Amino acid sequence: MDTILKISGITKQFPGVKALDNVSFDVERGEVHAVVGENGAGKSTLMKILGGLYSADFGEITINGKKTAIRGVLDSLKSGISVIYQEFNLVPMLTVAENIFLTRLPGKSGVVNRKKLNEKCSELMHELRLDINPSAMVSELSVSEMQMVEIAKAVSFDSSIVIMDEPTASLNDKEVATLYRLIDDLKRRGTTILYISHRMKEIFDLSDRITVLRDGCKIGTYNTNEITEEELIHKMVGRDITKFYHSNDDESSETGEVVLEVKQLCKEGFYKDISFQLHRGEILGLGGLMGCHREEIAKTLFGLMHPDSGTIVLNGKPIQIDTPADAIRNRIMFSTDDRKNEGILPDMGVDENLTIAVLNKICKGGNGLIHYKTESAFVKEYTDYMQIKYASPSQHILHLSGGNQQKVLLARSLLTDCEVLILMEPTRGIDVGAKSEIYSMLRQLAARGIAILMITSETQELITLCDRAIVIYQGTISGALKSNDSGSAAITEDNLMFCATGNKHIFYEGAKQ
Amino acid sequence: MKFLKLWEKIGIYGLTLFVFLVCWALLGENFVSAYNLMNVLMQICLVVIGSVGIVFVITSGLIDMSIGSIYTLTSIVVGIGLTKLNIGTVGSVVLALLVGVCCGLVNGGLVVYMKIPPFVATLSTMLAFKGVSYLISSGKDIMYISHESFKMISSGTILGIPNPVWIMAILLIAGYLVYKYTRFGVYVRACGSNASVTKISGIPVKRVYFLCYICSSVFAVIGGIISASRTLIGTSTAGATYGIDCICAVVLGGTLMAGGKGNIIGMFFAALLLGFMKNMLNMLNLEFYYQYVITGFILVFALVMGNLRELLQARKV
Repeated sequence: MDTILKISGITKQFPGVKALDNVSFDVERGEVHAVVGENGAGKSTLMKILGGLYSADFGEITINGKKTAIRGVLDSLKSGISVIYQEFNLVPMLTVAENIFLTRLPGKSGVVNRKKLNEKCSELMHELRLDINPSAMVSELSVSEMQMVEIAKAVSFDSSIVIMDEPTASLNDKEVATLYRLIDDLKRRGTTILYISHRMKEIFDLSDRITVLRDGCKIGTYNTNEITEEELIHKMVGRDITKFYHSNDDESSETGEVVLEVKQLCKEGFYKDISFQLHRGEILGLGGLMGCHREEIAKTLFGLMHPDSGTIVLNGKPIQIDTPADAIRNRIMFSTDDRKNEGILPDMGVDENLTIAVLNKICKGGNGLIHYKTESAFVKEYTDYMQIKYASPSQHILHLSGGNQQKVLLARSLLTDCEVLILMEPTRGIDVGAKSEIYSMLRQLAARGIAILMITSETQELITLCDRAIVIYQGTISGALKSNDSGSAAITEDNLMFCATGNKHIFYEGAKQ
Repeated sequence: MKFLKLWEKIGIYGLTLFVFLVCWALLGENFVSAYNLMNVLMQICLVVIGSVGIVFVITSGLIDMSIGSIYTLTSIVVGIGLTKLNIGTVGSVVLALLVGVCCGLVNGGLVVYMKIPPFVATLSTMLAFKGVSYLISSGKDIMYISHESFKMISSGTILGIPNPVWIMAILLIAGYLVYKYTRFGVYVRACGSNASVTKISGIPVKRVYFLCYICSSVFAVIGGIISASRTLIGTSTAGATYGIDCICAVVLGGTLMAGGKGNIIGMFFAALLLGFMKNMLNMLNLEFYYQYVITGFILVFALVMGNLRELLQARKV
């Protein structure tokens, strides 16, 4: 066998988390090598290192038997690697042909030979049997067409290694078929493909070998025809479950009546037939893999997206949520997963960040003048309650740790007296200590009667924190699990993974299907 | 929606034609006479020349607020060249162009190396360059009425067409060709559309930014030279609205403020439209300040039209 790419001992440390820990494996020339793992297992970090966007702290990469230092994107391209990232790297205002050949525009002394450019691009498209007009603007293409352009761009560099990071995340079945065909073509040309995905079907359809990553460590490399889907899933998730989380058994809350009910919610291209109930005082988890469109469901409930059909019922009354303001009026609050861009007001104080949503509450007599005494009383009460550590109320929130910022944002939602709290990735980018504080805080909030809908990519959070969990697979509900289920529908790693990959549909007894 | 699509295609051209027809209807033969139309071209050529540079700057995702001051500075620099340094017409023109390149380098340096946001950086240099023109002229006007060869730049004609119109036409076509057919043109659009992707693709984004700023300064200097050769006086108070006029024509012409998409032909038509209106107000003996009201109105109208489709589409999500 002929090793084209040898990864040895790659380690990458991010603040607070070891994304890759001494990962080594070989890739053979001409194979499709799948790299699988849960969200956060380190797949994407590894690909970014190979693509020259990150540099590894330790370890070396050997390409074609030669030790290679990849310091930047150009280095990576020069050593024959093309990476197709999840987020596209195309310039929207340029044409397809201009994008593919951006660094290699044909022509003499700065004048672009447009005819030759389009011819070259047509040739490429023809070769790949793609039906995309070279002079079409990229901004006018569909997502799948952009994906194809990305692949064509990778092919045009004559790269010997093409890395695809979840290429099917945004494609429908027909487009996936085109992708399969393209990968087949590439393979026949002798191109090596590193295929990152967590969709079982594709992995087994396409790959020759599979490398499993878990928590930044390599678990093993297996021949695809020697491993079953179930074995693979166990390898991806099998870890010591309760390492530092405390279980929720001791304070299992009695959940109350239904607060929010979603009936048959549909949005073309995103989700279909979504129905579930959210009870007072419970934490309901929304699980699923990246690209399963659970974020869109949450956004719909907060008026950031509008469903094609279906109803949302709050306390027995159907409501219409067109804008976030509608949602807030109905006492539904939302906490973003993009804290930096959509959450904090970075250059404002802790106090102002806390009270921004309830300024009318602290304006005396509604005359628009801020009553600072009331404000500081609020700030004192809530920062104490949430155990927020800060130097002074006017300290810029930017200078707080991620955990404390998140607590401020939670407190901001609380101040609005919400009944329903939608949380997106509440512990993303937060260190372990602050995480468990936030967990106990969320349980306290639930105990106070707030209904919490939580979207999280961390399986452990679903298991230890949530009373129930709904799993989404490609826009539909593929499972409903219960933390204290006596049957086979408990919230466990295996059950979650089976549902999230569309492998099995598991519903606890009494759950509406 | 259909109307909006049509607008996207012909917008500014249709609007210019419309204004042309209105002027014709109101003013009759006087307006469409060759003499008057040439007069309009003479009036807009300064703005058109400056705007060519601004199209590149805005398309690459930057902005240049300082060209008005560079335009003013030019009239002083030319005056010093002609009267104090005695380096003649060619020498003075070359000197002014060199000063333009320097101004562009200063703007580029502030934005590229000091990482100052383009708007604030060029707003500061707008004041600084203005200060420089007061400084080197000691706040006094410089007359150079007697320099016949310098005067020829604006008063001479070739084939019966005034030199400034020739210069405008050449620069306009050159700008269009560079924008449309060269590697630089593609890079400019790529930078404005998504700078980080462009950088990852291995394109020298910094150099593109520098070139854009040099481009806008040099074009402002050319405008300034023509204007100076018309007035034959160097004064620090000239050209107060030049920068704004140029940006106005560029935006009205369909160049996206956010970058990525420029339109040089559209810019010319926008300048023409504004020229027709000014001309009409003149001929109707109306006060010039009506022009500001109407220009502002047209600009708002064009921008709203440009945004309407996106707004309507966004509501559907």
